[in-house]
Amino acid sequence: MSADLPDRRSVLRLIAAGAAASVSACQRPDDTIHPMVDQPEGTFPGQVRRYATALPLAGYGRGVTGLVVDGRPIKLEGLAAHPASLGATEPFIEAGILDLYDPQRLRAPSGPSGPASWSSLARVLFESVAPRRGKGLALLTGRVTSPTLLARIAALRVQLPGMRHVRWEPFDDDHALAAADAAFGRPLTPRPRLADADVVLLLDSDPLGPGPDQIAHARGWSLRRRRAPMHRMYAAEATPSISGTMADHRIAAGPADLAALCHALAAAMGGAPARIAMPDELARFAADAARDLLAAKGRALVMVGDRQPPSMHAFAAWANGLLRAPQQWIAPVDPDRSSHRDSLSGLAADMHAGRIDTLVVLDSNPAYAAPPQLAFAEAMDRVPLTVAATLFPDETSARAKWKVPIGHPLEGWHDWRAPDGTVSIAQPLVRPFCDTKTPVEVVDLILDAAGGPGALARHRTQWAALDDAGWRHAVATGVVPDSAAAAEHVGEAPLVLPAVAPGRWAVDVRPSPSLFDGRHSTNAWAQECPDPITKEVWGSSARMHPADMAALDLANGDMVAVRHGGRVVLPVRSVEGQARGVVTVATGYGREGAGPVADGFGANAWVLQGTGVPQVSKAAGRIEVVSTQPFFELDGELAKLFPVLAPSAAMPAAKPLPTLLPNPPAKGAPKQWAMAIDTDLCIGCNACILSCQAENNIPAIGPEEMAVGRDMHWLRVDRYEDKGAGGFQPVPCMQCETAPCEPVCPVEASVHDAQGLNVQVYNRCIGTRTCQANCPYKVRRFNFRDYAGSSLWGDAGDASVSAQRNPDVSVRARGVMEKCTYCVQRIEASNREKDAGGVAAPVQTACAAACPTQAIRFGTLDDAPIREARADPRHYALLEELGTRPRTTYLARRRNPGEGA
Amino acid sequence: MIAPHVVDSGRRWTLPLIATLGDVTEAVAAPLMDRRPGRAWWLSVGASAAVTLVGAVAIWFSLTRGPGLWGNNSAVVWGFPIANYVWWIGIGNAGTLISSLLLLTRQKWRASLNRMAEAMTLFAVSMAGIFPILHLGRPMYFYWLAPYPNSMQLWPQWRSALVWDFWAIVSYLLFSIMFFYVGLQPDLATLRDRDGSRGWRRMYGVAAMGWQGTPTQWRAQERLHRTMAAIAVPLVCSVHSIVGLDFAASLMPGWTESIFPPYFVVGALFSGFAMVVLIALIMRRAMGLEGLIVPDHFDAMARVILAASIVMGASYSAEWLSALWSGEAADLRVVRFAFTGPYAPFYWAMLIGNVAAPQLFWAKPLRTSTPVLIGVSVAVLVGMWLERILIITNTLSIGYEPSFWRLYAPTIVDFLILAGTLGGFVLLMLVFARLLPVVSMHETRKLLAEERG
Amino acid sequence: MTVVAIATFADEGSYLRARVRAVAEERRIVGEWLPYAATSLGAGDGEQGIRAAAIVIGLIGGAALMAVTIWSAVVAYPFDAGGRPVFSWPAFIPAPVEFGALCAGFAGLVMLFRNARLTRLHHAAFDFDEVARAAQDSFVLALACDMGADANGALALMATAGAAHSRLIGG
Repeated sequence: MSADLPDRRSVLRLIAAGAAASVSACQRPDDTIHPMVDQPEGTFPGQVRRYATALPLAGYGRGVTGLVVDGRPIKLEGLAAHPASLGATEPFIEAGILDLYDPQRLRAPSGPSGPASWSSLARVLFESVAPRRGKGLALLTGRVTSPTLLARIAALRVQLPGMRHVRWEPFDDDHALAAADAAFGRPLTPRPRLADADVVLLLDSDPLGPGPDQIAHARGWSLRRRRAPMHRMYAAEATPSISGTMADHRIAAGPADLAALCHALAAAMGGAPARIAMPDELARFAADAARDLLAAKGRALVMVGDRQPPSMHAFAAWANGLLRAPQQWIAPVDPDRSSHRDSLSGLAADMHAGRIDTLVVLDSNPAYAAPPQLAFAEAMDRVPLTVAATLFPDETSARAKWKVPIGHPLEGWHDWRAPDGTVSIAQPLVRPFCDTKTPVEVVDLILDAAGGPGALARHRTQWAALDDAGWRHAVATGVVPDSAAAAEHVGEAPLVLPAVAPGRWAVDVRPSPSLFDGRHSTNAWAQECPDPITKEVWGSSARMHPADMAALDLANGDMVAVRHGGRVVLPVRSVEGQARGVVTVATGYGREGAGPVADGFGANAWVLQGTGVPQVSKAAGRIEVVSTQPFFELDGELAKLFPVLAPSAAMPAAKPLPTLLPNPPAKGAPKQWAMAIDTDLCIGCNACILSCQAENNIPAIGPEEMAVGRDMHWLRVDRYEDKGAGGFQPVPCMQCETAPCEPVCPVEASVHDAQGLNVQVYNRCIGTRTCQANCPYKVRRFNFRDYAGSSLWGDAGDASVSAQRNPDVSVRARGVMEKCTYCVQRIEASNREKDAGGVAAPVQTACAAACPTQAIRFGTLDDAPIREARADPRHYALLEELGTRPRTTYLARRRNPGEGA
Repeated sequence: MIAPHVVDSGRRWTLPLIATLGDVTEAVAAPLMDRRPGRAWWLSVGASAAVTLVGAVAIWFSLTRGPGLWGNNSAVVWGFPIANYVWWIGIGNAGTLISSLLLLTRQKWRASLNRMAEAMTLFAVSMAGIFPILHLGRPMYFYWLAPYPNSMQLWPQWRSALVWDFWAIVSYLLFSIMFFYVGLQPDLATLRDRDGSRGWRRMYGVAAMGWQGTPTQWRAQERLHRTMAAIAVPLVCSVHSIVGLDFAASLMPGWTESIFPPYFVVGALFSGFAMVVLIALIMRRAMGLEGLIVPDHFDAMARVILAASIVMGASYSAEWLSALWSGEAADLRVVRFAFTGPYAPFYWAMLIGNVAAPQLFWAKPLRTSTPVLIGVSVAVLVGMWLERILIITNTLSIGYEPSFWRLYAPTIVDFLILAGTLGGFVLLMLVFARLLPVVSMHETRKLLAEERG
Repeated sequence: MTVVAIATFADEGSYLRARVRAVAEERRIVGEWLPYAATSLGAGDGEQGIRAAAIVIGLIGGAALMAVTIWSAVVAYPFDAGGRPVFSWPAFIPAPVEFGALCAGFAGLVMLFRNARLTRLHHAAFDFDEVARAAQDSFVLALACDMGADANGALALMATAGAAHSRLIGG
């Protein structure tokens, strides 16, 4: 591969001179990088090349495939070989590509007296830490799974024995590890296999929800759900989560209820006689769950949420042992054995006490997310030398005397371990846009003004065990073979039961499915991505039970003050399925100094990590947080939109509709595209929405336009509630065979092509909007303003963001209607490939490619996945009584309540 | 050859103070040619010009900044512009309809009203014509609706009701101008031949195109006028039917109703008569036409408004009933939403304006009472405008997909554009009143001759 | 020597009487001007061709647009709009109907101008004040007659019929 590189690079340079004039910074990295498959010689402008690499979330790596056109990475897709991707993505990966081009990024180092250089920082650091051999130096990072980074930190510690490395992740796994430590004598991480679980009990656990394991869990869950006999999932949780929505039995349970539930389960499973008074409904839920769990020994699983007390994790360890649950225990992938919280508290205390004189914060934001009682921001002021290395300016860098930019993961060499331990060596896809360094290079800089040999050399050295072929293979495929952690043998866990401690209020701090712990708050796509449950965008609210709201005389949108350690004032939102007494607040909001996209939306939930009794009261004012979906409940006839079936039930056969038109309509080309969406598998994670946004150049339009209700997402994911069985329904264009939008267009902008696509000719559109007025599914989107040409990034403008755009997709002008095209550019690329005599890979739309559960299937009417879906008894078309003959059809949601219900 | 049932009752449509043919000419032409415009006229022109200007600025901003300035959203993609269009075209339809329908049915009393009704048509259609173009996302390409040879070999999409609408508006506007001119030509000759300023007379002379009033000319004019009236009645009905089809030829609940075309036509007649009443009241007072526009005129128009209001009520009931007896959930939802949803106050206001208020006209004294006539006419006009906007928002706010139910709230720009067209309409009427005879003199002469004869 | 006796009448009745008598006396009527389309005019010159032109041209115009429609939608550039037939004839009707009506009106207007011999901004008749009065309030009748007794007879005829004013022109 490498022999031909100079040639190709000179070709690329010529191309770049013309084609990529506007993005002069976009160039392939100087280092040798390896495409996934050997592609035919002779690249041409606009050719899409695919490279394996990885992106981190909470310190864990997830493999991704970068699609690179003319030196620009424009899209991230899943990496099938990687266990945390399995070929699919989730919202954070999809939005990650925008971060690369985000104009809010920190661009160059700056010191206490303004713009500075990396070398001057190195000199200052050296002078500060070398004389005392690292005493008083603290290096604060998030979770580090990177073997190379760990090795560099270890190497640094050899030279600076006084140095302290504190690793702290806002969403930690302290409780799970502590419980395992108590049960088995060593900290271990449970690795549940949902694919093998016939019965699952979730105790405030959200395996299908946001997190580094989301894709793996969702895929496992979906594999099991596809198999008969149907599995069953029980969920007891404080607030509706994705997993709870998908559960067959769900009960709202606050902390005391969850503890009581453990007691009841333990009693039912023969562990303890303890009987605790509890509401009938909860008792019934416990009895049903226990019965099913016991009946499925070997295939039954109990999962506990990370934020639940160690005792509940210990209970789960006991129960899973008893049930011979399909899960492994592995040694923690993060080798640091210290508690996240304690180590950060210790550091903060030392900082307050003046025992730290140099603090280097590496890609972490404690000033924003640390518990309020640590007063971390104030503690930083007591440290003489503070350095914040960060991708985006944030609360911590605002306090730091030195702010230095680290690169986007796609700009440098990295390695990470997946949650199961698998290592990926992530290659850069583009040269750094700004004067940035990778974390490994930043660590190197602490003692070496030259900055070490560079990230590539460090990683190559770290992986010296791989020969050149092995290295190339590992880089090109995105995974280091056989690097997953081995299962640990554990003994029997003793039964431990959590204490039942009722309280009036409990505060539930959860990761935002769009912004996570706050590290995606700067991402405009993420901010505009609707929350799966409330469908809120550009802001957050405090979720409460309607009865609790009534007790405080609160209506939706009224401000509520929540105090637990710190105090936040947020608009309240009543949520069906919220536990009484629990106030749920999502993290990631309430940012300050993080740029125009992040600042000022919602309130910072992390300040609610205090201790003591939470207080909730009504506050003055009102804010309507924008929600893209006003109604969730389907009653009466509306229930037809989202049918919920018993496990083996079938949809009623559709009656053929009387028509004067030729029926079925004549078809053109042999390829007739269609999509089938299994609502029983859709977990509403929004990966498809953002994948579509990245693929199809869909602009983010900002909070004001969203408030008017002008969302531009081509694909929306509707959430519906039905007694006991809600679910998600992604709604892209239905590509109706007898599309109502087409005959009403006066200028032939909306027409049908021979492949069965309902296409929109942007150049021809004059913007009458009649098509959308007449669309029963309301899936067309109108450019009310010049969204593509306007910037959400304040003074920074959007010039750099436009470099992300897919060159195969038109950028739509103001006044033009747009819509889902089934990613026609991909279909046409495949057609061209075939016309050129090549073998075209099967076409996947961006949404189908992203889906972690493979709920979206795409192909021609003759392809097996579509044929099978259309023959499925659960198959139905949305609003088929209107006679639109959609090509996008659905498989009905199922619920498996069991004979008890 | 007058059918017995259309023979006028013993009513007289002129007052005795108009005694001779010359009195008719004087009553109409003197304010135009002999008197300078008064303070009230100048004030009105100033005020309406100012409002028009504000509207023009709002339109300019809309054209340069795009439809984002309005309240429309992804679900309620249509808003004020379409409602304004339908409302204005309704009023615009009424003028020609009134004039031609009354001509065909030989309602002689039309003589003193048809000119202002036709002028109202022209100006209202002009105002209406702004909106279909303004409302476009890319208004500069509106001409793509017309069939013309082009390098892309693309043609209009003839199945679209919007294309029908394009032809309907263009045909109707041009037809109305011709119809207006045919009726106006003899009066232009009158102004040409009357004493007055030389310049004005010369202008009228050119406009009269050499009209003399010979029997041949009169026969040709009369034949053409009636022929055009016979074409105009179905044309007008089809124009507003097509406007109704913009909605009805769809798939949306609350729109897909076969009653829409006739219901739109009656609505147009209804709002048009209300506007004519207002204009006639004002012109009569301002131009001193008490001798030519008599209480019986208003009585007759009030009866038509009353009848139309009953048809409107029946149409609304038919909408509700068809939802009820079809049992279509989506249709029922739209009806329920209309009565109980967030727009319900406007819906009730619409029912009061369009159905309840005109019932006052059952009482004969109220049919000729100026305050009542003004009140009811305004109520009808407001009610009809509310009907237009509610047709759009009720259906689009509560379509098939509950996840996409969205409310509509207009912006200040929406209101300014509406106000601007109202101002423009008033301004045009004011200019018309100073430029052309507001009453058809030759037809009034004939009416007078027959009454006095 | 031929002169013209011209008279104005204040009302239709007297004008009609004069006209009937003039016809009975076989006098040559050289000009008539009326302030409105008197019913008594009856059928006659001027009406011919207006209706026919409107109907024919209206039909031709409508048919032409229908032809354009069908040609462009079926022959020149057929495409699939919502699975509707390429020849969606019911949907093709409204535009030609509207356009046909416009054509009919226009044809009628052209016929009016033709029949009424318009546009003619300069005409000998405009030289006479009587004709100008006709546009205001009067009926005007002009009879050709020989100078002398014949002329006096004409004047007497019109006076007895109730002419408001009469005189002889020319000579």
